[in-house]
Amino acid sequence: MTPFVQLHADVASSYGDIVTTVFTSTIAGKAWFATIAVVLALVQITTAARIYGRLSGVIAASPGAVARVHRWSGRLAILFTLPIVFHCVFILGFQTSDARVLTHSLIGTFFYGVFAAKMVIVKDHGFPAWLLPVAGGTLFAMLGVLWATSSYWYFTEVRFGF
Amino acid sequence: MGSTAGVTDPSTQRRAPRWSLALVLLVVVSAAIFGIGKSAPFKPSADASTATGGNVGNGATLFAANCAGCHGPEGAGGGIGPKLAGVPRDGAGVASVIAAGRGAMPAGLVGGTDAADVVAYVVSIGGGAAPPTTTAPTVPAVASGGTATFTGNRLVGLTVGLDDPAPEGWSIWVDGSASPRKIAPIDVGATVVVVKDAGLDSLVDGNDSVLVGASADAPALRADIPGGLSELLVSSAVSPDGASLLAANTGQVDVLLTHIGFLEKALAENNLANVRFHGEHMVNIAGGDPLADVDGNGEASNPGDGVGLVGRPDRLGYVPAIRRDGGDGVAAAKILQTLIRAVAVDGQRCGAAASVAEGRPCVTAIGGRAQEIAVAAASLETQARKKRTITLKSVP
Repeated sequence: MTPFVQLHADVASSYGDIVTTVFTSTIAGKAWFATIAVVLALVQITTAARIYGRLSGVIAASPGAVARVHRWSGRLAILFTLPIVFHCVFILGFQTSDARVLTHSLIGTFFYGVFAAKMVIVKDHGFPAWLLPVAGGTLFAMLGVLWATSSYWYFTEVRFGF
Repeated sequence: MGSTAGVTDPSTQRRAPRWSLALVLLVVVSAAIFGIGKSAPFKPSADASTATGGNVGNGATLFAANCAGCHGPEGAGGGIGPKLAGVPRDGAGVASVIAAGRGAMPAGLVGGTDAADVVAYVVSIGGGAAPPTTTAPTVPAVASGGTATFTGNRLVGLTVGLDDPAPEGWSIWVDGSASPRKIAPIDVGATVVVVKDAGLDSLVDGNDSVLVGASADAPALRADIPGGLSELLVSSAVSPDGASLLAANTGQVDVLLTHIGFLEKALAENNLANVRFHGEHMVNIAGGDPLADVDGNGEASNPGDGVGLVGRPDRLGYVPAIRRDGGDGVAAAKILQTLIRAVAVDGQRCGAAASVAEGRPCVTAIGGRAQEIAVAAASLETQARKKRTITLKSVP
């Protein structure tokens, strides 16, 4: 075995060992990470609506607090997607075995690209005002599709558990 | 103070949006993800599964202290753990099991260099690591869960989740009382296997339970049963000779309806002996063995197969068995069961009737239910043949 192959085996094995300290399998861990990310994304959508002047009767928090929750929920959501992207992209790879897998692979391919573009739009106030909610909504929709084609499918078709 | 015409205040100037940056990031990041995904740099390979490198001697000592209780002395088996001696295993897989645990085996029994030593020992007693060119590393990617979808007795879909990405050359096997059958290959690195149509009519039919597992060959599946999934059953032990439970039920309903006809004929002919005789048949077709001598002629008679449509207290009849196995048929089975139980109660009266006149009400009642039974049985069959999905459970 070459050192390079050994390194790869060690990294993949270590990843599996870490995830399986909590979950019964790496795929179960991935399904739950994605679920947490979706929940946090819902927080993102809700707080974004509040920032845009909606839901003021529902969310009583101050604008500053809402903005902080929005930022941190976003950071945490992306954080929870990192083990997923490692497993999906680095271990499993782009696959096309059926419509669900193909959809998941395609949307997953563009997810971080859209995320990066959205971050540019957030920081740069020169863009049209409508673009930021469109980008955020697109990102949320993509995450929803990714969750539905993986976690939801896993929980309903394979196993519901940790 | 406002700005002078033709001069823009820099503090209020709206800078042009960086469209190009956003687009470039979108394209570059997506392309990078796509490129990495296409190459999948950490996808497991057969070569990666052969790594060991520990001290075999120290591993033997550690094995005797920590592992032999379950895997037997020198891994010879005999405990609750699988036999390890003489079964080639890849080091990475063994290391993974030691670190993560499996089944009753706790995670991290040994760690660090001790783990590497035990891995080396386990690989050595297995006959050495599987060569890179083989496709059979035998530490299984344990099937952690799944579902099976049936249309009637046909297994039309199977989804199995694996704990670890599958090594090269593995397949999904189904192992019932018949010989194990390879259902579908598993892609290297796959953690979920979807089989569109396993097409198993005869294998599933008549088996009490079926084991689904992933392995390179059938013996490995059997040796590592804790890696399998059970609860893949559509038939039942009550079905004799491996026949389809549903087909057997349909046949016995026909027997019951035929003998209801005989009972009505006996009444029409004023034949008390036959009223009693066929009344007894109602009881025994419904209840099955042990048979009852209802008419008191010294012989317990049953034109059925002895299983019974609704069974007796200590036995499961066809109808409740179908209700158990086919979730969609619950309501239909309840109706059919109620009707057949009522026929058995009336059959008891007919079988003990002292005169034809005394037998008339029970025969009339049974005859009146024949049509309902036929309808309910057809409904049950329709429901039981509908597509349904069951959850596969890990073998304890």
